[in-house]
Amino acid sequence: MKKSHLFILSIAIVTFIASCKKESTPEGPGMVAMEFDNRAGSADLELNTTWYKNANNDSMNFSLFKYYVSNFIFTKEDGSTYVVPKESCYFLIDEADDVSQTVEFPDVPAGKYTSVTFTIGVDSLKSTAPQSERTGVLDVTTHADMYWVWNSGYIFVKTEGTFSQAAGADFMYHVGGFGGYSSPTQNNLKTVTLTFPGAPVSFGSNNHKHIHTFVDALKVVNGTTNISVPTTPVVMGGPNAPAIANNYKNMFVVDHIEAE
Amino acid sequence: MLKKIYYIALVVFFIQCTKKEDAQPNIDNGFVAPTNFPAVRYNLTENPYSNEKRELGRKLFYDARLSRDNTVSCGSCHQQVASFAHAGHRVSHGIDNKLGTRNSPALFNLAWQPLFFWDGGVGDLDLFHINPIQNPVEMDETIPTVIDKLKTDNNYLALFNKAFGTSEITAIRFNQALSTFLISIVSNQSKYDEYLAGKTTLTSTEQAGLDLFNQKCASCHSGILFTDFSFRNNGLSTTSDFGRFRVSVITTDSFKFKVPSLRNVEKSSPYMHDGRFNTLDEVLNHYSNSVVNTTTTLDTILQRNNTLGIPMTNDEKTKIISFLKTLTDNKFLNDSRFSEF
Repeated sequence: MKKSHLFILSIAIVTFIASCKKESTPEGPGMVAMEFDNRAGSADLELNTTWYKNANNDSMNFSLFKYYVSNFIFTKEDGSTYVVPKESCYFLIDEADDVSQTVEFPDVPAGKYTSVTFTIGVDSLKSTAPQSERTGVLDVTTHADMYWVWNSGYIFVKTEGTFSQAAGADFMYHVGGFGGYSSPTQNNLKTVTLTFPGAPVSFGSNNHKHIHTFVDALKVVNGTTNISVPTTPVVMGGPNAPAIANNYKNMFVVDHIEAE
Repeated sequence: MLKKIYYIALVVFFIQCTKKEDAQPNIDNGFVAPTNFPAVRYNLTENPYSNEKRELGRKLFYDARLSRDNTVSCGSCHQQVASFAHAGHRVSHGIDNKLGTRNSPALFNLAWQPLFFWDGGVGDLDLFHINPIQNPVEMDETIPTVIDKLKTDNNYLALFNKAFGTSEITAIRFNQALSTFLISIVSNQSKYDEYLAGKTTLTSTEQAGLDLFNQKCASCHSGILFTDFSFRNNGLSTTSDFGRFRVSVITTDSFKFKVPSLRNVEKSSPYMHDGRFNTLDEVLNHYSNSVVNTTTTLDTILQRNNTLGIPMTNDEKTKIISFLKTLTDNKFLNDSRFSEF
């Protein structure tokens, strides 16, 4: 055999083995982290210290901003989906707790993804589940501040603060309502889909990714219905809650995705 | 001789049978629903019934340590003698003598109840108990503090151990024990129940009352439980309490309140969600003469033939009340398994 032939053969074998290797071990599932970076308009949200202006030109100083996000679904470019398992799909994001602001999905199958879909709040099935199935952030005893006991159900989005330096100028927006048990009640569950910038984006064991999501707290009061904070400073469920839910469903946007 | 033994055996067998029936409601050998009741709504799979849990729940129900200053128990506003309503109280006074806004309802047959409170705000009995405990005008306490108090009591450690297998006291176990006691309070041994079972007869007045009841009241107070569990505006003059609307935020639910069961109604005075009527006469007079149509949500049943309310003569009212008293269940009112001591 000529030397050159031997060379070509060896390259062919190496290529063959390499390609075999690729086929026998496809890319496995990877980690996707999703950060909920709370903002106020174009600025970072700072609790208690900073004043912001809403669309109605009201001043707002936030002291609290908390919300449930749940039931995450990642959609690939071919339309197929990865549904995050029920037991690990409920999160409580709290501006006062840095750790809560990044949630992790450790087993997202490899693929090219275009969007993520999730629910703002806690779905009706979980909202009516036995107490033993409500652990972690859904424990109504340890997270009693995010639960209405008199009208059984989680508070989906809760924000509080002041709208003026004057005493008593507090705003409180608490929105919940999953639709009721055996008799209907207000349903403010919202499902949102966020398209990835630069989609499709590869996820997988070789592509751990970090989704940086901006969440604009001002959109609780800005949107289809621009709320005048001094006129309507307190909404705890009730007739004004749906307008607020329709506003805040637009507060999420994926700013960028980077390698984890 | 053999004949004699057979005879004795037969008699003993019958006595035992009778005894068993007398022991109804059967809550000592698992939770056995009365055969003429609908399907149980309470989730017994999640919280299996046991006598030990019931006993623990009974102790908790009557324990004032559930309140901030250890003065108010569940039993304070839910008295067995009043079919677990609050006798003589339009609304109840809780801690520091603060008054609530709604009448303390009678408690029985809760295993069949889909929604709790006059406005149906709670749909899971296990998640009910947190309400009166946290309410600032009722017990003004927190569940974690209650749990801490109970942990210092060796009797409770032993009772939790008996009920749940270990002495660990958790919020879930606390709630489940209270629920078990509450669902055990079954009322199905009134004179009317005995009449249905063919064991007794109604007087002619009671029978006439039953017939009238079926014509005039049973569309809402329906079935063996004497309620359809719906929310209705029954034509009371309105107050600032919007009832079901407060929970559902559906405009057509304004001023609607849950239809209560009429079992033991003789004992659960005062009546209505705000306890405004003291006697059954007043209640029937409301339906015959005082129904008002000041809102858009008045029940259509109360405005038939362009007439407000339910037409009833005084004689008819007397007969209906006579029938309503056959719904009094003296065995339930005196059952030591539900008593404080």
